[in-house]
Parts: sequence; C-alpha cells; structure tokens
Amino acid sequence: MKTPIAISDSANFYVSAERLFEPGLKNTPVIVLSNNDGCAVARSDEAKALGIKMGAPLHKLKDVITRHGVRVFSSNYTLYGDISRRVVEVYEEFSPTVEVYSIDECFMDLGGVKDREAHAQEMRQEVLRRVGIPVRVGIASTKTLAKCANDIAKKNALFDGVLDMMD
Amino acid sequence: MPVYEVKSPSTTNSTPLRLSTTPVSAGFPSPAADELEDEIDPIAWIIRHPTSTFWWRVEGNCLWDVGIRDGDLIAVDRAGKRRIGRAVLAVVEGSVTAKILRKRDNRYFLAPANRQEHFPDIELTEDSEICGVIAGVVRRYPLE
Repeated sequence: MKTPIAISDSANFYVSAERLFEPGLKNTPVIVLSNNDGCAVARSDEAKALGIKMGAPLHKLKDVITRHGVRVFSSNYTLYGDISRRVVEVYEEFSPTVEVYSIDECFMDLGGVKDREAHAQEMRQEVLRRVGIPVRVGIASTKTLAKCANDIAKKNALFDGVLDMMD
Repeated sequence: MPVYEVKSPSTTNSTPLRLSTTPVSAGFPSPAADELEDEIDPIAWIIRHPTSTFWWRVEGNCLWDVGIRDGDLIAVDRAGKRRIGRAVLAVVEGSVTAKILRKRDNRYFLAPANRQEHFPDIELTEDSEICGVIAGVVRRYPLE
C-alpha cells in the first residue's frame, strides 16, 4: 500500500492572520492587498461573495469597498511568516515528516496512522485552538491527488474540512 | 479596556549560552568562572507555549489591582486553561478586552479589578468569546 500523503492549507490565510488581532472582523468582508497596495491578494468569504476577484486592482474596487464597508489591509509579511511558523509547529506534532510547500500549505506523511480522518480532524482543532487559524486537509496517495482532495474539501462543507481519498 | 496588537511579533525560543570571556591563563582561574550560567531570558520564562502565545498592548487601567496597567504589554496564551479568577483576553461585541473571569449564580462574567474606578461587569454570552489567558505582563519605565 502506498504511503498516505496529506496537504493542509489555511482558508484565506492572510485574512485569517489579520483577524487574529481584530476578532471583531469575523463576519466583515476583508481583503489584503499586494505589495504597494496594488491589488487584492487575499479575500475573506464575505469579500468573495461580493464578487471581488483574486488579483483585482484596488482602484477598480473603490465602489464595492465603500458600498459594503470592506476592510482593507496592506500586506504584513512579518505577521504572516510568524503565524505560518506557529501553524507548522502544530503540524509537526501530528506527522514526523512535514514539508513546507508555501506560506500556508504543508505536505505531510501520514504513514502508520490508523484513523487518518480523526487524526486530521484533531490536527485542525489544535491549529484552531492554539493559533486561531482554520485549516483544511486533503489526503491521498500522491501529492497531486492530495491537493485535489484538499480542493474538494475546500469547496464542499459536508466534508468538514477533511477529505481522505486513500480508499 | 481595549488592547492592541504588538506590531512586531516577539519570539524567543533560543536562549544563547553565554561563554566565558576571560581567556584561560596559566595563572589563577577566575573564581566566578564556575558561576556563569545561561543568560536569563524573562520573556522565555513568561512564554510557556511559544506556538500559542501572542503579545498585546493594554490601554486603560481596569486591571490595575492585579498589576496590569495602561501601556503594559501582556502575553496571551490561547492554550491557557480558562479558570475562574484568572485574567483573560476576551472579544465582546467585536472589541478585544482584558478582564478577570468570574462566576456568580452559575453565570460567567468578565469583571474588572480596580477599586479606584468603576467599570461594569460583562456577562459572557454566545456573542462573546475568551481568546486566551494572560500569561505574563511586561512594563518599562522612563529613564530620562
């Protein structure tokens, strides 16, 4: 049997990181801008629902921002790097092999884990409790398939953040 | 008593080992040489869980009686146990506040600790949330 590989990623990571220090923005539409405040590079679910697209230039968003009270943040990579490191620290308690893939994505080896879904759910809860960041997990026999599983888990609430496609 | 984030996140996980600066000579060894220990790092002492501890800046004096004052930095541990009587950081109606967790008649309250000024108790409801326990406080005084 192939080794199960998991990929865990954060939902709207930069927005989640900003909300840690402004918890009052929980249900407010939030966007984070690219360097020099050029365009939107992270959007909360509420901002996505307003039709704000990934990479949309700020000057084209002026209208929707004023009309719907969207909170706009300049990017703060020092903060995101610090939060990312903390999330990885939690992952490392759940897998002996954690490979950092991007600022908000890690691959990990789940070989030898009996109940992978329960394991992944516990990991999600620990990241949320200790760091305050919501994450989702996809599990499969290859990195590519794990990424697909993650994407499906992201788009379907019924998976509750974890999809295991090993079977 | 609103609190604000500390702009640059503070992390301390490596305590540098202080090396003896006195070169070993063939004469008499320094009587203090054996007493050199690891450098004291009070921040590392405050932070029990580096992964879950975040720093905030306090505004206001509603926790004066427990030694937390306007301008202090507080370490807040998200993984700390929420016990009655502990100072906690909570979100009430969208704003962040530092208070003491109290219980009366089976209801939970966020209470101030200041006999000089009056601040109201806030009942913990579904709309409020405790986001961590205060693990320590750091203050500095002017020198000039």
